[in-house]
Amino acid sequence: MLAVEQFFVIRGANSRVMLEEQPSREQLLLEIERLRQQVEDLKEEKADLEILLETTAEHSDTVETELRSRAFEAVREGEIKLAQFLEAIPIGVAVLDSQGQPYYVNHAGQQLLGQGVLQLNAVEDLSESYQIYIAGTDTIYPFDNLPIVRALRGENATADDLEIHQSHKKVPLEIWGTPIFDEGGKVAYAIAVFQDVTERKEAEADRHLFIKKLFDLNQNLEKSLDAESELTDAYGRFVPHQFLNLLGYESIIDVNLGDQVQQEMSVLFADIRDFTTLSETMNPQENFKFINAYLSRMEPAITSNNGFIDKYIGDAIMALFSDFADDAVKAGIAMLNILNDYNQHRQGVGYVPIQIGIGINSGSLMLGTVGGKSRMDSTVISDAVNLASRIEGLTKDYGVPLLISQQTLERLRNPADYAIRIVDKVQVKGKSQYVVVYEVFDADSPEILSAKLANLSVYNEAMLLCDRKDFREAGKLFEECLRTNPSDHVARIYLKRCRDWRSLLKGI
Amino acid sequence: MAMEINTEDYQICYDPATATVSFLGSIRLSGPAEYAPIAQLLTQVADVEPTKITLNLQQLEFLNSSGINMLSKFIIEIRKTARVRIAVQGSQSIGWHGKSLRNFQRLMPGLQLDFL
Repeated sequence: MLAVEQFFVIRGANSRVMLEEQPSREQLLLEIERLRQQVEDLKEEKADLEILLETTAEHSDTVETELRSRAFEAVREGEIKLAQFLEAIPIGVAVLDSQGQPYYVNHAGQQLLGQGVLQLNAVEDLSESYQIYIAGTDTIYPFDNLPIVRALRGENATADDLEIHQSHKKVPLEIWGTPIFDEGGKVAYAIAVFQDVTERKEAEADRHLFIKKLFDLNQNLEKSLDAESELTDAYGRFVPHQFLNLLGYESIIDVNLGDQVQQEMSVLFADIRDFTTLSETMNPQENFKFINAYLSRMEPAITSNNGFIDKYIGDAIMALFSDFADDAVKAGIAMLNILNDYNQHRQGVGYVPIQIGIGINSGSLMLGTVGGKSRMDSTVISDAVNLASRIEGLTKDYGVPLLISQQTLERLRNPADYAIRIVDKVQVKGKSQYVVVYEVFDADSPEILSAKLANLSVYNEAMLLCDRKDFREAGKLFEECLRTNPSDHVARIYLKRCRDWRSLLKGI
Repeated sequence: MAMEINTEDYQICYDPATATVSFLGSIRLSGPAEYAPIAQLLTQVADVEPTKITLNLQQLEFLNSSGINMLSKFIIEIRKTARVRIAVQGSQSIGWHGKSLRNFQRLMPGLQLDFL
């Protein structure tokens, strides 16, 4: 168009010059050709633009389609991956859609259920179709209690009381049901995750069995322990526990022959005076009944004062006490008090009262076990035992019930707590040394106790004079003691001795 | 004269030995204005090349519509001068190459198209 316009403008501008001149035919043809070419160019340009537009639009569509399909593929790939994950999970996964139709069962799930996704007529058929039973029974599991059906109702639920009956095996399962909600909050799917709990059930059963065995074992052990402690108790009546404890043992079973220990202890000997005479009046049965009645009364006096009975020798008691001598002396006093009560009882029923003598000595004792393979016993080896026995013998001579040695007196925490007075000196057998012997008279009757205490200084003076062989003066003082306390056997004995010595000396 | 464009998403380079302009990566620029530097690079190449220009698009993963537009205009330009020939190399494995690169032949029937 532009070219045509130009042509006419040129013609106009030159109209005066070319007024008379008509454009030559060649010129016109040229012009037409030029215009034709221009139209062609424009057509081509238009075609180019159309192609360009189409190309661009087409490209746009191609790329868009490609992108969409790629995105779709990516999603699908993601889904496939997720499905692969689900398939690979070693526990069962099953999905119901919102209508209760099985939608998906993973590989492990198919193994456990024995079948995969089934077409059901209704969700009510779920238990029947998958052969789900109440564990240990032939009862079909109520479908609406199934965790996956409960999940369909929007609940989170678990159960482990069900089992799948496959053709030749039963698989106990534990199932968790979880609902999956859509954006509207409605249940879109229900997922069940389940696993075979055969091993766990077996382990549980094993554990129960094990616990029961352990329980039985414990009971047996308890019985054995009871039996052992009964046995130990029984032995304890023959071998004192304290004796074992001193040897460092809990039980007699542990004791070995030859076990021994050395200890500072006090030994108490107690004997029924003139038992032989008494015994002759009774038959054997009465004898034992009497001895046992007596011993069973005496035993608490010893045990309650921390002592233990080492042995009974006929009617005699040998008891041992650790630590200070107070326990032994208090036990002796307690025995005499018990005896007083016992005698009152005896007199009340017409029996003669009995008298006992108690001797106590303290010193180093060797305790140990002696014997052979088949007969073993505990024993005490010590001079202190012999001396205690001898002191006990002296009680008869002096007519007093309780004598203790110098060694025992020295081991009292506070000798002034007791009513004590000197009685004699005895030579230890086989040795040149003398041991002073004292009377403990706390158990005397109140009158005699107070009389002895009142005379104590006079008595002590008399004993001192006697020791110095001043028998005249000593005798006078003993007489004085006897005036206020005529029943003082010791004073009487010494008075007699003083007189005897004097007459003996006179004779010389 | 910059005969190379390097960005994180795409690279364009000119190899004078083979008279080849290679496009790599994804080009998603917006509008003719942003494509101007690439169009300029192509024009410069066309100015120095005596006979034939090869556009290697084999590793061009993505090109948006403005990009196709720019390439199409370049091809029209070359066709008009009728001085040099154009060869385009595409890839069979890139989906859009098949359709969109064939459209270049509508603009330049003599365009040599190779899918490798």
